Amino acid sequence: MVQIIHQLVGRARFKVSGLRNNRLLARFLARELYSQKGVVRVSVNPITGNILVIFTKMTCANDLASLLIGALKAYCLKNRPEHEGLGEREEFEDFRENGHLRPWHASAPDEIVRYFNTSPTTGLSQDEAEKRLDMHGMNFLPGITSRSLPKILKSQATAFPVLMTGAAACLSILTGGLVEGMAALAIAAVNAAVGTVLEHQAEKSLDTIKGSVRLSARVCRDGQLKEIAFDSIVPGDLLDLEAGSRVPADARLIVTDHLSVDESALTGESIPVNKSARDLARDDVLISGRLNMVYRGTLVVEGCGRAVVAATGNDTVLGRLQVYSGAVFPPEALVAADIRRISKQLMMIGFLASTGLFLFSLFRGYRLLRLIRNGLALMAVAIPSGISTLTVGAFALGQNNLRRRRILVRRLRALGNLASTQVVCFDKTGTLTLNRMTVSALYAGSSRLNIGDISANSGKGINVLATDPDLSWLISLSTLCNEAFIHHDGDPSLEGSSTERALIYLAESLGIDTTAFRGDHPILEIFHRTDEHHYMRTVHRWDERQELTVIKGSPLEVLEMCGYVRKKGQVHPMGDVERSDIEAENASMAGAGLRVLGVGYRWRSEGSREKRFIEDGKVIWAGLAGLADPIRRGARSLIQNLHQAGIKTAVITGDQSLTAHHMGEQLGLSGDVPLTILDATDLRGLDAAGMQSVATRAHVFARLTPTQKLQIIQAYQNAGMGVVMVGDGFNDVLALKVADVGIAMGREGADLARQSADLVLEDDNLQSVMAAIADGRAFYENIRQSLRFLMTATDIDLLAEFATRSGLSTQGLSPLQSIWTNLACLAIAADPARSELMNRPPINPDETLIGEKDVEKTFRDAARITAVSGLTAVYGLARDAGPGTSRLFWQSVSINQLLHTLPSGQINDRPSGWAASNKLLQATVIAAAGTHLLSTLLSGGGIIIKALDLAALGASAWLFRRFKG
Amino acid sequence: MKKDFMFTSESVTAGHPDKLCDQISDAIVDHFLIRDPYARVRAECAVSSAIVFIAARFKTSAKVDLPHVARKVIKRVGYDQEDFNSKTCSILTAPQGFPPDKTSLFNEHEISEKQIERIPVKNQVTVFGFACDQTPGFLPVPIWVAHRLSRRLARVRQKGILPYLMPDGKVQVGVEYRNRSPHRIHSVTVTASQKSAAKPSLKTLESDLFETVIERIFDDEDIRVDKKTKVFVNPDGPIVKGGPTSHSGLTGRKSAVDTYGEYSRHSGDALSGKDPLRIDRVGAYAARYAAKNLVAAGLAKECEVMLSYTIGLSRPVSLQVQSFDTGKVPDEKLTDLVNAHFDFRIAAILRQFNLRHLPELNRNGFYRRLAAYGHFGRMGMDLPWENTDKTEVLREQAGVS
Repeated sequence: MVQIIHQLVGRARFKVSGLRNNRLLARFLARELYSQKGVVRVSVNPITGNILVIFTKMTCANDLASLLIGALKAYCLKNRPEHEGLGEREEFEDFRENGHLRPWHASAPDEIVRYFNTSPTTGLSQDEAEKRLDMHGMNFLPGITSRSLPKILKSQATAFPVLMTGAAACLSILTGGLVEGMAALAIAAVNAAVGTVLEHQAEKSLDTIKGSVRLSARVCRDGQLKEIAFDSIVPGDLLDLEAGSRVPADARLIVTDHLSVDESALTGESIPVNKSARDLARDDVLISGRLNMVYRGTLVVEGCGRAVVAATGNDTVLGRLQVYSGAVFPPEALVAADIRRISKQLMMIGFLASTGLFLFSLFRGYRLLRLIRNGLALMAVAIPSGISTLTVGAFALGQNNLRRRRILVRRLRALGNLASTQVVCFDKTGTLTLNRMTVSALYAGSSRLNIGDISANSGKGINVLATDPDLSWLISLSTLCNEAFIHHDGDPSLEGSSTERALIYLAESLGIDTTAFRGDHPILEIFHRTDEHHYMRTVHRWDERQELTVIKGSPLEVLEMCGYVRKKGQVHPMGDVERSDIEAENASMAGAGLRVLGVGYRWRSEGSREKRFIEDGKVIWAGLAGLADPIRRGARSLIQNLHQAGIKTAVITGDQSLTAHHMGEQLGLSGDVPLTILDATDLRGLDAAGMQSVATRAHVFARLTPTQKLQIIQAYQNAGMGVVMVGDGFNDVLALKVADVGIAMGREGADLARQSADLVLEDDNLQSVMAAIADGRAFYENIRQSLRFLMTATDIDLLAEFATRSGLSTQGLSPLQSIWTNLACLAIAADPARSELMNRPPINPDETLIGEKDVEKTFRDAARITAVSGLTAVYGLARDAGPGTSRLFWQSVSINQLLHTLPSGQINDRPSGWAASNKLLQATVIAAAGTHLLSTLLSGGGIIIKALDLAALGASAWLFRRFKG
Repeated sequence: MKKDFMFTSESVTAGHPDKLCDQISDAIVDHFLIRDPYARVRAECAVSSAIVFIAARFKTSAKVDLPHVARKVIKRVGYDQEDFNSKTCSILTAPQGFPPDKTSLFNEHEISEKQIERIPVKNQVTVFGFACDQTPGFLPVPIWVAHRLSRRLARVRQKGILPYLMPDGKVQVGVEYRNRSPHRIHSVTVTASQKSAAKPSLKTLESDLFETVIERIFDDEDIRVDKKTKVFVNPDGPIVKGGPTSHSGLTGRKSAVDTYGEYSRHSGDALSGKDPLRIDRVGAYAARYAAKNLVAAGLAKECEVMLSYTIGLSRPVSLQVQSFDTGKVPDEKLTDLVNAHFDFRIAAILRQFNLRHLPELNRNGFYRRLAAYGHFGRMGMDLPWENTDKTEVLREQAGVS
């Protein structure tokens, strides 16, 4: 039930069965763990079903495991009646209960087709589809609706710290402390208001992002393929699925070709599932085992297929899940949990101190009513009502900063995770490179053709083609086994993948009429590249008697199938020498950084008994094509900057090792150490430890199939590292989702990639990755500084209060002053990113926001400030022990406290220089000092007294600054 | 020296992880030399579970796809099980390429004697070459028989005779010597790995191996397994899968298997993964060439040639020949003969054996093939250092008929 995956001193990772995709359980377990003594931090991952616990040395991982088992049992008992619907078993029961929902996976394809009265080839008619739309309703999920303004206000106003402050303030008013109570209430109100505005803004910007996503799917109606919106899909529709499609509704597959689907959204299983149309023997199969069904919300990763829609809208599995759970909890940032914990601690301190003071004063014989009033007032100020505002405010500020750099923030959690980024993984094509391929070398027969600029040398090119039959044959074949096509309406334009476009472009510029040539030899069958076979294969009708099969793809894989080679127009058996020459040529192209494609072909006479299936050794080798893809500007400097900031970089590519090596050297990926390349097509064979040690060592991952990017990300995460994934294509989607921060290219990236990323670079500017990390670090640092300040302030308040109670002055802390504290705390959070932050190593993800050392430091700071301010009190006492003294004392405390936030060479590692600091903070300090000045000037007493008071305040402030610096 | 003794030598199949690494290293050398005979290469390899590590340093402009070369070797050796195969294994490479080394760009077939004299060795090493008249391959009986057994063990798997076998295996042969000549086979130990634990049983495996491997190879040997010979098959119980899944491999860890089965001395340096400009590799070939010619000429029954090289000099600083009291002439005379008729300067060795061009002439692998079943006494390969073209001269000069 609970399994320890790994443990070190102070840190353990558990695997908990049933945790996958169960966010309720995740929350429950996190709560239970936090209640345990010695647990420092808990990170529950409902996607992987793992829990990471950081604890003190005194705690033992086995104890935690048994605690978890206990908690799990408790959860099961508690939630049995209401939550069992989530279990897959129950869901299956559900199918039976609802008359119209049948276990579709248990029916044969033709049964389904009959039931829905549709056609497996032409689909529904448009009229029928419209009728059904009326009958079944829109294929629409209510989804997570954004919260309205009053709702946000309510949640803000009822946040625990605000509530406490409010309650204490009300009590204070009732017991006669009108001014203090009102002030505390004002603080609470301001906090709630600021929080509401900020959160509302955040929701609004998220809404716009959501609104921009319009989902559509390809269906076959009236025998024609149509792109229609998700909403208009009806039961019986014939879906046409291909790699990159999102499944719009639950559907039964009827035809598949290497179809593989990412069902992580539904099952939590991150490895894609291979699907097929075959019947399942039993009907009591779990969702993850229903291999002939596709479900709404999942994503086709590979291959293609057709399916008949069986359920839409709320009838889909996803729909029922959502209806049940109401809303999916948005993932939470590391930082937010930390902050909550700290605020709880602070509240605890405040409460204890208030009680302590109350008892202390009672002992000294103060009047009860006044005591209660004072105690409540103290509680009202000691409680960090600002902390929730701080959180929301800091997130909003951080988001704004990123926004200014044209980085769209889709998920706020990203901000908190950016600071602890230890490794950045890049997809190569389209992310680090422009994905604008051009053919730059060809090799066929025994001649190599280097193509500089074809348009400039087209005369030469045509000559070569005319004289070299092998090269021209290679080019012809590469236009046949090719899915790119030329748009002829309006300006002719090329559409298709970058690689295939380049090949067509080459042929066209050499004077080949590709449209006519391809029209003469139509495609009969097409087999796409898969994870197992890195090549694509097309069968063409050559003439009445012959079919031509062309294979294009990974040069070494194509070469392995070839038993013959074409040279000077003649076909010869391939010997060791030819083979090794081709390999060497491939190596030299790849070594120059080209993406290399191998092309082979085979004839088959019409009606021949031979299968179209290609057997090894029967294919004829045609040649190699090398394509260049320029690296994006700034890629190298980005890599260097990341290294400077102590962040490791890794590039993931499907290219061969040599191509990858060339690129790795160009980018300086490995820094000073030799470049290490991992060449692997499948990482599944590696055990976790091996995977971890290998993955964390490599700088480049070559020949990897897209679906394995995910495994690399997870390997880093298992090694305890924070991972940023930068990608652009739909094959990066899984990795983008799983990474701590997923960053997608906005302009040329795939829609799906944009939708799964946390951050989107709207202008495709790679340098923004660096900026985002810098902002993330600043965000983290600022929150830390704010919290430290807040803690110092709380400590001072308590210390000073003790001083007052022990007779130093007669009047307690004025709640007015804590308005300034709260404001300053927010102002610190708005500190701009500082460059020196980027010369430091990243924050360890295991580190807590405020450690024990920080707590000690805040106490020291507080003691110092109180001591220095005590001098003014001594001066005041020397004059008279009236209310003037306590006013002076408190003003001094307040001023010094604010001065504490200001830049000084030493404290808080903040840069020196007034100009370099944060304008908001400066304004706060000036305003606070101004009001104190004003109140001194307005106070009673002669001009000399006032001057002396000011001098005392100034002296104390000066002393404090001297003391500091 | 004792006259009656027992001696054991071991050999491993091409599927043994250490040998797999040797073959990958040498296949890399082959591929670089095919593209650029003047390339300097050092390739080292380690394999553990499904991960292959390759560290290669090379000075050449030729490009070689290291993972591809490694995968081809793994495929050829025959690993195809799910947890380790040529397609899905992960290969971690750390290639370090440098521009071509000018000092190695000489053509040994064209330069003058003077220039040859000026080309120094760049490594320090003491190498040994050995030959004896115990077997047709001029190797001691224990290693000779061990190689034949391990080769046969691999063959019965490849040919599908014992389809349940896996590529990993090793053998040890103990030979009883009487009066310094092989008398009988004392013991044979065969350790073979199998696909599944259930099949075959140890008994079946034992009888299968005895019939198809052990008995077969002694058909054409002078001494055979007799009734008293102890035969051990997997004495430690069945070995399932074997290979990198169960034990890791490293280049250069099977020096004794590569040479003379520890019957004579051998240099501690690895032979595999080095280009022909490495004297610690080709010096061993040259020493063997001299020793074999002496034995083939009938000047000794057993002979060991020792060469010591120092960095910066072209000739060995020390040359010694030992015949273990089997020589027809004194050892000093043998040493003089070797000195007079064999040229041990590095460039001369390259010229004599054409070492830099052999991969080009043997496209299905030259150094890679050497890396399994020994670098010496290979009857199936036309190895230049196994030539006995100097026997006439030596005999003449020694005054022996």
